[in-house]
Amino acid sequence: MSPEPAIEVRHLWKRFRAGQRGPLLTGRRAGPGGPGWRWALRDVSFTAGAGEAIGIVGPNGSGKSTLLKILARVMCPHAGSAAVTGTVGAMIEVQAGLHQELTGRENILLYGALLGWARRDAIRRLDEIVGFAGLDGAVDRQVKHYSTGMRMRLGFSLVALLRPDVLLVDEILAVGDGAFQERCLARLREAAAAGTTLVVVSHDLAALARTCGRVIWLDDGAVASDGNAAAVLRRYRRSLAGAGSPAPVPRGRPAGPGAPGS
Amino acid sequence: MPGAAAADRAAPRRQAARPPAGPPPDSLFRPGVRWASSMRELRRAGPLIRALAERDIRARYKQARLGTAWALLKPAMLMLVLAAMFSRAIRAGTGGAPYPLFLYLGLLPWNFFSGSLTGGGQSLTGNLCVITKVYCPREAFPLAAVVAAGFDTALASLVVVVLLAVAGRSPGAAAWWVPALVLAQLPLNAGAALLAAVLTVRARDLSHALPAVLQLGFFATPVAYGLRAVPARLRVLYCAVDPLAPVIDGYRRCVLFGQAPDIRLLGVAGISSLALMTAGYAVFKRLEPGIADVA
Repeated sequence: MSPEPAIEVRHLWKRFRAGQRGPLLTGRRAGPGGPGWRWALRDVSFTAGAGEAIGIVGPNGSGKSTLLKILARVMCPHAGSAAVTGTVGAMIEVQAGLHQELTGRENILLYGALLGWARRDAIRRLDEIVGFAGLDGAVDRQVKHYSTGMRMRLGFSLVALLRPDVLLVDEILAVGDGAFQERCLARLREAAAAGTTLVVVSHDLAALARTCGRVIWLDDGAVASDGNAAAVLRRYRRSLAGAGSPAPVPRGRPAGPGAPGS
Repeated sequence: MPGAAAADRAAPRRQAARPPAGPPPDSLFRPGVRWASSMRELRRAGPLIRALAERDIRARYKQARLGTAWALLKPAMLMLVLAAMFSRAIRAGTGGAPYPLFLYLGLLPWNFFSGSLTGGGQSLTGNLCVITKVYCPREAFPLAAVVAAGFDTALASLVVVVLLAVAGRSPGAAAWWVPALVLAQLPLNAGAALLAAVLTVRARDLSHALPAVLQLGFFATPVAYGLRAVPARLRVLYCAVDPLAPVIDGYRRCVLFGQAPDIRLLGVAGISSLALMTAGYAVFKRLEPGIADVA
């Protein structure tokens, strides 16, 4: 294990407004003393060594995607710090950022610019990306005429060929057909083998077990459990079964973190 | 803490206690403007600004059969309508120049400004799906809107050549002032675009208010009339508040009458514009951390 951690998250807090701010003119307040806030992350701390593969599980709304977005520098923390050493690549619903009116080629060049590539590099990588996405005949068609699958493959390929030091992956394992998912998994394992630090958010627990050595379980924005993948996943599965529904609503924290494992 | 990480692996650790109700106040994230690093990042953002402007321009005209010809047709049509309305109603004091030409030279910088402001206002809200997924210098979005508006204005300025030919006029050596006047307008446009972009994210109301504000600005600025309509003793103050006025006046002086622009008024306007750009950038950077939260 390298002496310098690849990711160091210390006492991270993040909050969002609970609901919309009321219109000014009606004179109604959204609640006593204003609209109120909802904590998305509460005092989250963890350290990841270089080359580690970490899975993140938790019910909907437990803060998984927020954590990933803060690591990707897309969002800012409310308090605490999240430091990532080296370059960061984020696979976060890339296909949603494609521009419908532009062609596949124009989208690839635009995305390259967003990621900070020089135009020369983007043009050089274009063929590689198009080949990986299997879009050879369609690069010069507008993306709005693509099928859903083609759009997804293009979005995935845009980031799949990056070689970042830290790769953040959000829910890509949940989209696409079986073959596409296998391809995603193969790419992730390849990156991990090459020494990339992985942080993978997913509801596909079996896939996480195969990809990650360590799993962090988030519940209502706090770390409920952190450690060996098999052990954490076993406890997480048991909590899902115990709650009687596949995705318990985390508001109100009836059971509290850590309670199910005892 | 590599040792601790290894220990984690052996047995899942239960978090000892419930987290406290809130973060300690001394650990709060404080947004602020870090000028040096921001400027470094901005300098690297050139290719991104270019790519975004190119995307805006392509997407804008792709659907239209006439394509980029609309960049000329729109201001030309507006000029015809306004000329028909105002050539009698407003004693413009054109100094002997044909009113359509006089008017069009006002419309060009005005459209550059209003295009920057409108495009800037939409630049963040219209790109939230990208902004919440990829980290990039966010000021590239409003600045790209300024570049795209500049592209439109450059195309639209071709109409001036036609109008000059029709009027049988040719600009003299004073036309060399034109690049300086374009440059003088840039900080104003950039500041307005930056402010409109980040404030629209905070309060979407602004997207409703902007068209009305622009309408007001159109009549408050000497677009349809000349700067001479403003009393001489108020002109310095007027140009400090409306930095576009001496720019428009400058275009008319150098293209129509072979004169140099009024450097004193242009200087006053330049100070205002630079102040607006600096303030706009500071506000943008201060509010930038919250942009992704509202998506």
